[in-house]
Amino acid sequence: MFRRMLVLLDAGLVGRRVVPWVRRLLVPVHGDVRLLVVLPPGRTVTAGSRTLIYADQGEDAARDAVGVALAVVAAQLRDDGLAVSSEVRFGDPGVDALEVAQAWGAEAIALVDVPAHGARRWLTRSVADAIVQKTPLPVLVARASGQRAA
Amino acid sequence: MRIKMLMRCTSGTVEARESLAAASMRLASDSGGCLVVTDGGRLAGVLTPADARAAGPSTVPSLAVHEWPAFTSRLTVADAMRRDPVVVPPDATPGDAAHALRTRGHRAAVVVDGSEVVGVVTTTDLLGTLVQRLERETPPRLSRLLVAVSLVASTSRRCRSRTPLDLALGIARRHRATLTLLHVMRGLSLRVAEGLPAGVDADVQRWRLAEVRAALIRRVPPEDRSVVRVDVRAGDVVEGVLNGAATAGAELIVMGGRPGASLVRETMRRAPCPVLAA
Repeated sequence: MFRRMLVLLDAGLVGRRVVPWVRRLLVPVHGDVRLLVVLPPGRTVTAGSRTLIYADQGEDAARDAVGVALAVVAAQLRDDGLAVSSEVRFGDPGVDALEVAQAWGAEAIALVDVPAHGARRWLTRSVADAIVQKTPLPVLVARASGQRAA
Repeated sequence: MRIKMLMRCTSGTVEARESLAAASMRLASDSGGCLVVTDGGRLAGVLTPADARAAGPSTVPSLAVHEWPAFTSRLTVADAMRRDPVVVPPDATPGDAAHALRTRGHRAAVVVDGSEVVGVVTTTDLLGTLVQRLERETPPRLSRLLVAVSLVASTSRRCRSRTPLDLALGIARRHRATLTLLHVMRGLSLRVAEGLPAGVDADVQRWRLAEVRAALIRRVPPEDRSVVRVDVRAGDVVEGVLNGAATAGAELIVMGGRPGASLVRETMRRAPCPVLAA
């Protein structure tokens, strides 16, 4: 039975749906949770020759916004006796999650599968698919909707 | 815990003589909210979505046809509201509020500080507190797991040291949960079935099920057999796993198989509970 779980969340925190399940799995073993949000890299916004926002400014703003929401999730898990740390990264969620899982020594990964709709469903692979395929760790996958609550 | 930490803002204040239809629209835009009703500036009642629905047209079509739309559209908030609402101070305990609501049969209490309405608290809010307290007293556990196993792959290619069954047994032991060990086997191929005399194919199928069941039980350590239930099904694998999970009331499906296999992906997309791909 694993004790260290990496929880991959998204910017809108739809991924929070998996948190109650993580809680149910890890509270009896006093587990260790790392919350990870991987956001798309910031882009410099220009209007004509003027730069409105530099990429790092955009990333800082996004990091702050997500940080507040992450702190709430972390506090709830800490109340249940779990050790919680959090991290916000910019890049590809499928790649970064695996890097963090390896570096942190995760024993399992938890995430919510947000399915693509329409043509994207056939043309692109979801983050959950990419992670399940590449990682040697057990992966807990919950659905974004239509699934029983924890 | 005090009511002031639990209460929510009201969805607004309405006058008792206002149209019920307009009040219902305001309630619909605020999930779980309720309206405080005043009459000449004095607290007169409280209107919840359930009260508004109860006063509205019947939801049974055969009865609704006898209701005059002109009559229902003339209803006012005063016709549907709960008069003489439960009033609690911000420093009341959830127990006080729950007791008052239960005694009076109301669904929402108005929180009043002095003479000012500062919020409302509903039975749903109070239930939330109760759930939190119960969960704190009894740590959340899983009670029913399902592990889908294959007889061919004895070890997972991904977790080489552990099979999905090992992982599921570990979780079940830790949570003191019951574990359903499920194997879905394909039916007899048409070629084989057609080559058998009538009635023999059913015997062959029964024999196969019994053999698989015995093989699965042998895989479970003797000390765990009391909490493991074996379920062997024939047919489509994904459908079998989903039906097995529904029958067992599983809270978690543990599943092995080839990484990224379509069976695992399809199960994840349709499962009624989270899937642990091991």
